[in-house]
Amino acid sequence: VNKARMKEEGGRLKASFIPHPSSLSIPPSEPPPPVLRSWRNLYLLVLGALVVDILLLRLFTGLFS
Amino acid sequence: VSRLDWCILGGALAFVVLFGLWKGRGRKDAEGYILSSRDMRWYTICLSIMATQASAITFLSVPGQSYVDGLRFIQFYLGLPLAMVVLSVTVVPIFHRLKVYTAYEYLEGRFDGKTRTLAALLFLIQRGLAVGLTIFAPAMVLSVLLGWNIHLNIAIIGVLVMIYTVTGGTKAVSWAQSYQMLIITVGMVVAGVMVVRQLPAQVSLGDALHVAGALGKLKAIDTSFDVTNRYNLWSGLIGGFFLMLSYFGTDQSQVQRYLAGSSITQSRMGLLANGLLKVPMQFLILLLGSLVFVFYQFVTPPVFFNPLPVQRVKAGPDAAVYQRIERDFEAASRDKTASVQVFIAARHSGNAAREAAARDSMRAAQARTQELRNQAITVVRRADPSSGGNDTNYIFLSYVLHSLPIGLIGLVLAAVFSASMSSMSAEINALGATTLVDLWRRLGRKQSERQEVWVSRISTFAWGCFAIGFAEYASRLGSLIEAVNILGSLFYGTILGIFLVAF
Repeated sequence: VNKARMKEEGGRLKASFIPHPSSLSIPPSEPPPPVLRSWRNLYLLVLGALVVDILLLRLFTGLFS
Repeated sequence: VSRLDWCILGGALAFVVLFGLWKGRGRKDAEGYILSSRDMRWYTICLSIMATQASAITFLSVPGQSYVDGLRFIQFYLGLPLAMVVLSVTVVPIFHRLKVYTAYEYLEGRFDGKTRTLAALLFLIQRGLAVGLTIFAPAMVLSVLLGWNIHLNIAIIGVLVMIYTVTGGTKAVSWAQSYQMLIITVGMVVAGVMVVRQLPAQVSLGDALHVAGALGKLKAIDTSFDVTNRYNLWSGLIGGFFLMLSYFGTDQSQVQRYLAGSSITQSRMGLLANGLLKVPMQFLILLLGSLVFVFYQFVTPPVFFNPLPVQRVKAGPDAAVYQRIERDFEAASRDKTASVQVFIAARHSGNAAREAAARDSMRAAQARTQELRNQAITVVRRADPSSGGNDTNYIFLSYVLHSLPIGLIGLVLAAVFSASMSSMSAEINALGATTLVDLWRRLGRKQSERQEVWVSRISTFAWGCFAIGFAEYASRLGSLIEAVNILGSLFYGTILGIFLVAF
């Protein structure tokens, strides 16, 4: 896949073809917030919060039924 | 509505407009106007995303939904955090790296111009019609309950939004939304505190929750796998996930919020913060509706909250039937209040057997009032089929107008107006951007950055006028409004399908 075919001019994409995203080498270059050390930890935090939300809602349902 | 309420409402709205104008000044190029020069921090993105999704009807309808149906609507939002994680991993870095202005721009590179145009047109049609309803629905509720002129109401909201959105673009919209979210949060928190304070002295928050729970208003999670049940854990996780994936990943009104992030990190953090906050926020709004339900266990509510179809019933052949239902409902409500007080006293006594008996008695009283309300709904639906026998949008605002003190009514009304304005501003902002980037630019005319900003301003203005015009006309559409909504939701799957293939 030829990335060079993707050109940008004045903020507009001029390419007739953009390669599949897997070949765009999307950065791990941008660091996550320091306290969480990795993006994976942040994603796990969000998913963990969802699980906690569901459990708390279930507990809430049971407590006041 | 008192003079103080008018001052609070007017002051809050004037500040929003001036704040938006101030923050959005000096936009001279297309990137500055459409994407705020990509300088947004994560907290502004998060507030902007939340304010865009939560329209006025969300804040009017959700507590009413909880009043009628309990907390189970919360499950609809459980797919949202999953979608935020998936979008942060996939869409955000790709869009940022390609420096696209709109989501549809990406499709031309991956496929061709026709695919891009199709997706952009689907968005313009769907969102263009929806933005009119964004301001029509709350204007309708306010006009019915307060007697305000609906046309004037729509025009005022529309013009105020257009002043700062057309002038300042995305930066004005996002900063105004941060302030609007503050007004909305304060308004809802104050309403929540007031409803608890207005309960009888012997009724604590714990008692109120036990009453609401015993009467089936606090069932938040339903784990049964039933395809006929609209809201359960599985429909929320699976259906909600795909809906949110489509809305946040392919709808320009949302994509534009996080494309304005100063980096991939800021955009991701904005989305993920939304994923963390959305479920608790919706829970609190729904809980507010359940507490309003408890409040109305001690104060007799109207049997049907929307006064307009009730007036029609009372002017028609079913007037005597409806008045008989109202009398029976008032008597049944008084009986229910007594049974709720017995239940609370039984709870305080600590006698489990007495509490169980009082609970059964209270549930029987609730079943009786519910049966009478169902009868009233049947009569209303017969006399006014366009109402659909649905009054959920009117419940919370009825409580606010009849039970909150002077000053706080103005604050809650400011929250409703803010929610309406925040959604509309993001929507016409995105419609204007898509018109410029995905249609106008593709006509191939070479223009300066300054000219493009003006094209974007003019198209934003035109979409604002279209929204106001459609909203003014919407009251004549009746059930067609529902058809428009259904038609719009059909496009969501199509657009998500196009993007999933592209990714």
